Amino acid sequence: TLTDARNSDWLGVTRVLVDGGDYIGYLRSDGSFVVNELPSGSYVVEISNPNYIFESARVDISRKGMVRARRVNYLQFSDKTSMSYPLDLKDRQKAKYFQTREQWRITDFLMNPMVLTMVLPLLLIMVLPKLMNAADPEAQKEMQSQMKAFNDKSTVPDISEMLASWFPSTDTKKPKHKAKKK
Amino acid sequence: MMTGNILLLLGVLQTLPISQALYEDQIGKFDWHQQYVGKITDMFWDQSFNAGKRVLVSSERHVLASVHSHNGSLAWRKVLEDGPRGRIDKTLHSGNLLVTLTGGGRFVRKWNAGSGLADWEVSLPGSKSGRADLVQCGRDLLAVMIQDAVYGLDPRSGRQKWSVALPQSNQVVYTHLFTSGTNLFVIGQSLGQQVTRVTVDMEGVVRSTESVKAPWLSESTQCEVTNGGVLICYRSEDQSLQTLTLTDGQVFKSTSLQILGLEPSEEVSMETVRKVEEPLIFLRTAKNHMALLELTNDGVKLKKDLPSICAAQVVSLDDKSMLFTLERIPGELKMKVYDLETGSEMADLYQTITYLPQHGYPQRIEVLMFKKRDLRLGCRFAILSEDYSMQMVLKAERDGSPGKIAWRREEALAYVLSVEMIDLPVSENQAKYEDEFGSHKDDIATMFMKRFKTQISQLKTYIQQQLQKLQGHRHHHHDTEAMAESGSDDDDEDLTRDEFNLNKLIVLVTGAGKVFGVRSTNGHIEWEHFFPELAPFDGNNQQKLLLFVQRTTAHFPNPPQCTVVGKHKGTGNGFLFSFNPISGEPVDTPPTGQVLNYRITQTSMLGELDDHFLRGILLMDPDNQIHVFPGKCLSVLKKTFGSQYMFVADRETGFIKGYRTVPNQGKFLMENVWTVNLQKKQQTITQVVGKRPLEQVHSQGRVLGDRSVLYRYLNPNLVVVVTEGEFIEQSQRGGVFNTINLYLLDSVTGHMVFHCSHKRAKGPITVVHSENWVVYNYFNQKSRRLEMAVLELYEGKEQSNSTAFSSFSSPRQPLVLRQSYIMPLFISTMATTVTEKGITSKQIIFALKLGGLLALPKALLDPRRPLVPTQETMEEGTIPYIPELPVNAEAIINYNQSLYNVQGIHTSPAGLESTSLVLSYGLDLYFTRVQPSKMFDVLKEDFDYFFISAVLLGMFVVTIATQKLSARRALSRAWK
Repeated sequence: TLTDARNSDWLGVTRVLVDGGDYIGYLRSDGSFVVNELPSGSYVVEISNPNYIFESARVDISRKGMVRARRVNYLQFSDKTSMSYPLDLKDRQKAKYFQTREQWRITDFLMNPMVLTMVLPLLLIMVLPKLMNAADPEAQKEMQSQMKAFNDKSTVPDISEMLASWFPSTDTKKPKHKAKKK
Repeated sequence: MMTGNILLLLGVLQTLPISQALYEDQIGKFDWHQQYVGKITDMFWDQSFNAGKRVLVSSERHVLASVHSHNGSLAWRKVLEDGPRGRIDKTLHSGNLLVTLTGGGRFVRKWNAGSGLADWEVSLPGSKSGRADLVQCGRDLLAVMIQDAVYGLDPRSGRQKWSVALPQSNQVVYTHLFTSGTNLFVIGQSLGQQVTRVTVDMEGVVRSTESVKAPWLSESTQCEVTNGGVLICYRSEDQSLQTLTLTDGQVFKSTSLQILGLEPSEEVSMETVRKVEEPLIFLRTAKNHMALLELTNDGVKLKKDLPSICAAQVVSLDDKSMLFTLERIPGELKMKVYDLETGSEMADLYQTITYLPQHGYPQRIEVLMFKKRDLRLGCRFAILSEDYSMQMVLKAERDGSPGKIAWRREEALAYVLSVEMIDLPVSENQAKYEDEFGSHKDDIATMFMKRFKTQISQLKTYIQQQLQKLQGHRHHHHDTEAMAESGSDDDDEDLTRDEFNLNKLIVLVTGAGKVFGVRSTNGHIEWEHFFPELAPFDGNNQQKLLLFVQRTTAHFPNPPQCTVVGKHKGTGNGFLFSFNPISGEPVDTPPTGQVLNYRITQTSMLGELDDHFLRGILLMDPDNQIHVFPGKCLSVLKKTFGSQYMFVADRETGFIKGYRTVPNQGKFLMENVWTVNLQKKQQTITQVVGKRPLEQVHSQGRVLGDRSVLYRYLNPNLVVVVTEGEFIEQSQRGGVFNTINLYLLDSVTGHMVFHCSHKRAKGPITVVHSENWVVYNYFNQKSRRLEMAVLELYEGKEQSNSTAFSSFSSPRQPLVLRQSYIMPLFISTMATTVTEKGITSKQIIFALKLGGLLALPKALLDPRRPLVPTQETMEEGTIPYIPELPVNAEAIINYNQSLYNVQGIHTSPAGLESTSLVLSYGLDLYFTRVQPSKMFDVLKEDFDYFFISAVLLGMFVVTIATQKLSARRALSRAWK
């Protein structure tokens, strides 16, 4: 009957609770434990440790003294997924008690999908024509005429408008992002 | 359709604030944790692992722990099972060995004294009488005695070497095991007849069984075995000592206390001396009178009479035996040391120790003697006192100066029974303002002068504060360092209210008879009172001490007032103590408490305040007469007796009786108006839970999806009564099952509002009753799981009376909605959060047996959670039904500070509507804050002022720049 975790001082603060502490198993220095003198019945074995979450097990002891272990399933008591006995309980994960504080980082800001959807088209509009310009003088002319047409209709978004729309929108984005994380 | 449902569900779950977790840098910012072990029964200086550095203790609360001797913190602590299985019968420590015998002789465990890990465990059949004993015989044998046998164990592996059955074990009660030379002696008692002595040798062979006539043996006879093998018994009937030498004695020799020159009294007890070979024993005749007796073949000899000594111990070092004695004089303890052989006092060890009177008499002293480098004797010792405290004294540096208490552990705090959190008083300036509005007689000129003065003084303090701020950063830093060094020095800032009224003074009433005032900021004790005669009311294993807040801090200049109501230890009559909770000073009652001349059967508070805003306490005696405390509140009762009702639930008979107040010849009597019989034969009342008085409920109803309102049934007189019983199943399988019944009663009229029962369910049950809902838990024996059930009561779509509720014109039967959920973890108790105005949504805090405090929103325990979510339920904001309650680590509000054996959780509102203060008590104390709907009324502390101002500034600049740009562009366009 063994448990497993990472460093060695976990032993002192770990407890083995059977049925929520009606019976307690005490750990030895090698991490093993024994709970003696249980009447027949069905018990839930849990491991209490401040920093790690352990898996738990249901142990059934029959009147004849037969013992079997299976997974805890509160929804369906008859679930018979068995576990090895003697129990070998492992830690499932480190308990995450704390939220991480949100920090404002420039990469977070830039990688934000909303920002990307706005910045990328901008780049395309600004940079692509220039690339094409360099490539071919005829195409250049054609492009220029097209650009003129564009400019006349003033469909290219105004820089100032752009910036103006850019800032408030990021501003409203921030809270949304927060709400999702929690 | 199915996927649609799931998506919908996810969407709902995501918007729900499942939990509000802490940030990692908030650890310890507003929470504190104190660990206790309970009343210490055994104490040893650790001899194995750097000797003298630690003290091993075992306690009444089934705890084995190791305490650092330099600061009193716990090196390790093992909490054994709560029930009889975990009771520590005997702790044995010598050299490397630390062995406990627990559960009435059922388990022998060897512990590693350094780390607290178990080395081995042996289970034995256990003792029917519950008496068991354990001794060590040499290096290679541990002998364990239980009722019908003696076992020999190998101390290294726990292997059983031999076992021997004891003769006549069904008639004789075996009580003591003793080793002397190469023999083990087992002492058995048969009341009124004889003492049996069984001699067993080291190999487990019974050498002889003899019985010695002792017709005087009775229930009240106390027996001890001293070193050197003498059995000594004290008979309280004729105040005599009976002695028997175990090796060869044939008859008891009797010595009366008078012959020894001792004053016999009611409370005589004996304390064995283990550290020397001679047969010595301490006899205690009073709390402050002891005597050292020497037992010889001829009987008892008085070795030294120790009048006015309250604790003593014999210690030997290098073949020299010394007697340490403690005498209590006001404010101090005098320690005198005597050489046992010569009887002369050793002056170089004499010292005085400062000792507060709130600790009562010292009861035990445990001394560690050692030789210093310059071969002078040194000693340090621990004192256990009447109030369960443990104090460590280190020898004074200079001769003549009083010894200092290095630290003390207030173990009484492991027995908290009642808690109240009291607002701190406002600061002096604030108070002056209040003063202005308080008086009505002043004319305009004086009022103006007053206002002018207060504002000037306010300005002055403001300037002072600013100056201090400018000077003070370094200074402050220095302060905190000093604080950390001295540990728990109490000279922190004076008790005034903070901006949001978040800091309180917590009044704790403990079963030890001690009342504490504790600061909520850091858990330091502000004041304490000890009443040796105060005992809790107890019935059905539930101890209760009542704490009433008679006047809060709000009524300046009247001081706040609280009263503790308990029972007098000796007579069982009522015991009252009233005090100012901020300063701890007694008010209205003498400082030692007031003993009434009647028993108390029920208490309650008056509905109305008197002229000085004091709320009186009603005490009902067994003759149904009503007494008012303090007496000056009687006039209030005279005015309002028509609306004073009480009820008494009697566990013994199963009756609940309701009473009303009637005047009778200048007195007030309680008249029985209704009775409910809960059939004692089938079930017993285990819980009676009312609502918190003066509870704030913000909303009268609940808006449904179709925009109609479902009004809540808010009956302040509603009481939940839980009964547990057994029933025999009629089916072919048969068997006995537990059953639980829950009744909702109107405590004024006795009207049964609702009743439900759970078959095949058992307790322990915890009930949370608040607003219009009841949450309770029970263990489902059929599915073997813990379940949470919730009841919500509604009046319906119309409200019967929107201004006030009256039990007499109560609405028709309320609508009861209910649902139950699976709780995947074992819990010990639960409570709900309370806030100032009741606007914030509620959370339920569960104390998990695993050690956490889990906070779940009440919305998860809502009986309106639909099985199939529809548009309407979505709009109402209910979460679709999932049988298992979600548990995640972020919802554990005490993070990794595990709490053991939590007995209760007290919640209290803070000045901020969003915040509720939580104190969990039991073996540990833990205080923290929760914000069930997050902090909506204050900016978060991590609010990024810099970012916001940067964005604002940036936008400002950009607007100006773009304005310029666009102007230029417009210009150039105009030129085209």
